[in-house]
Amino acid sequence: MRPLDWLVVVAYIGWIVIDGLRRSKRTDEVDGYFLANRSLPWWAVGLSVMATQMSAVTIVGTTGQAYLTGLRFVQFYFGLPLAMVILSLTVVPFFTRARVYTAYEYLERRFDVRVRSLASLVFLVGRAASLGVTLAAPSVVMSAILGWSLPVTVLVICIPMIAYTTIGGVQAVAWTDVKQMFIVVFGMSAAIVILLYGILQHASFGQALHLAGATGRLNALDFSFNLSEKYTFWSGMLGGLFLMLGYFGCDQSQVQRYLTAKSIDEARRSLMMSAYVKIPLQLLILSCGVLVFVFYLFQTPPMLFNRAYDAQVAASPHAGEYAALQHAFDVEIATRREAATRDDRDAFLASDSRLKDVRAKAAAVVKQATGDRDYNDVNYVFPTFITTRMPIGLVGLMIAAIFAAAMSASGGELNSLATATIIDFYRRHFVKAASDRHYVLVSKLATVFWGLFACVVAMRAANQGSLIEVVNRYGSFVYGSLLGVFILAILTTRATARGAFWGLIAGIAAVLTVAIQLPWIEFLWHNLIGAVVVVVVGMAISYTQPPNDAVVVSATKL
Amino acid sequence: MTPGTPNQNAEPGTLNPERDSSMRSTYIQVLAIEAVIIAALWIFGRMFT
Repeated sequence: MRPLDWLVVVAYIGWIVIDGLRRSKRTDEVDGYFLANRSLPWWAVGLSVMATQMSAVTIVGTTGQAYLTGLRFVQFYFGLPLAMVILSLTVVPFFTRARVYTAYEYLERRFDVRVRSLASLVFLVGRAASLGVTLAAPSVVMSAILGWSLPVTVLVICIPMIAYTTIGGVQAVAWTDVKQMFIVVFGMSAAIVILLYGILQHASFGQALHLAGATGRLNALDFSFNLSEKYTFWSGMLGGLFLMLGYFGCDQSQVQRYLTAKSIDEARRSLMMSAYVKIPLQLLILSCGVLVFVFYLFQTPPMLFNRAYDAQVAASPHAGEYAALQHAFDVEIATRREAATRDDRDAFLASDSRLKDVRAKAAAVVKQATGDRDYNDVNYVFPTFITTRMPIGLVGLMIAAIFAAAMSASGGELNSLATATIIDFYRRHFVKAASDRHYVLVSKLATVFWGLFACVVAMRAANQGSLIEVVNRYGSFVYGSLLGVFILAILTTRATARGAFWGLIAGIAAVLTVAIQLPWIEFLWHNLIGAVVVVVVGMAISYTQPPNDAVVVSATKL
Repeated sequence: MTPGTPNQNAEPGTLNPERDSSMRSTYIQVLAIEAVIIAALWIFGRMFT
């Protein structure tokens, strides 16, 4: 990073924080602080919805995933457009007309306060853990680039984010999100241009595609129905559908986004923006990862992209073994490049396979030498390309984009944690009649608390594999079950409060059991399992009670 | 309140917060575009594998 790059980073982050605060109005009132006075236009809400879902994890983890396995991860989002349509027809008008602050407030009207409190607690626990992981990704990046310790890096990212979220509330979060989306799309597009320029010096575009395709990286679709296969068409359409319904329909961090819209129509349009744009945007990001792979066919990549332990390995008894692997890697890289240049597919694939083995052995040596059993380098691929290959100025822009992505996603999550804490617990159970000023003040304290909590989780989460998978694993523990409760609430009149309460507990227990006892079932299916168990158990318990226990408050029939 | 009916309480000139129009054509378009993208990905994968 050169001084100009740092200038770009500091200027951009300073601008989004200051401008976000400048746009915040009437944040001393509950409506203004939590729901932006229900005044945001649909395009701002839509961009905020996408930015909240797309964190630095997407940029860092997804590109690394694509470098290793290609476009397959796009299947994860196949359920999203249908989920947006379903939500536009159901929960958007429901929540908007109910004039709630949190999604779980509605559950009390439909069932009772126990169900509301349990659902909100499930959200708080799941989201707080996930927030920590969301912060870990850019921290890992900056830690590697600057040589700072991870805790310091986490705090450098968290403090500005906690500051503008605490002071400006949801308005600061939303307007920051708008800018972040523009900078991310611009940055990824610039990266693709740089990659193509580098690739076309050595091969034609068609040749580049054939090389990527030869390794299976352009095979986006897997139609096999295999519960053990992580990303397939079916896990995306079915498991992913339930994940997206649960996340965008029942997670407060997303529900609060479209509650800020001016009207039901505007809220629907904001979700439709995601429905149109999310898959093409994800393909843009994945393509970046694939192009990084092709780029490094003609340039020399590092044997391992995560260089954090280089000095430690060099000083260990495994240094000789590692050096031998490095030599083998250098020889094989040249062999693969030659095969790629002369378009010899068989030789290219054989060499690529040998390189994978060398990299796997090198990673094993690092694990032995350092004791870090979770060592991997998937999240370092794209940051390494950015800092070593992109031109001056654009490096700063890309780093700014990664920071901005982290801050905007985590700011939205942080604001929603504070909202649920105050509205569903503090105001509902403890201090029931206080002024707006009081609640806003306590919300700010809650924001700071959750922000610091997330920092602690982030410091522990940094080495848990591809971070985008970790985030979604955490989410899959709870989203399906939460969705099941909202299905009972909105789509049935027979479900009772007791049924919903115990159904939710059964759903979470079922998912945890499956995750531990049946680890071969991939996490996307957990969402479907959780939702089905909640509905089945919830309805079964409900039918043991008299029908008039299934009280449906008239205000909820819309 | 039935969908599409004006909010009697809305002040003239202000946006009706309960404005709730049919978006059926949008929904169909979204799903159709997704189907086209999936088909294109399948063709693309077959061409270069």
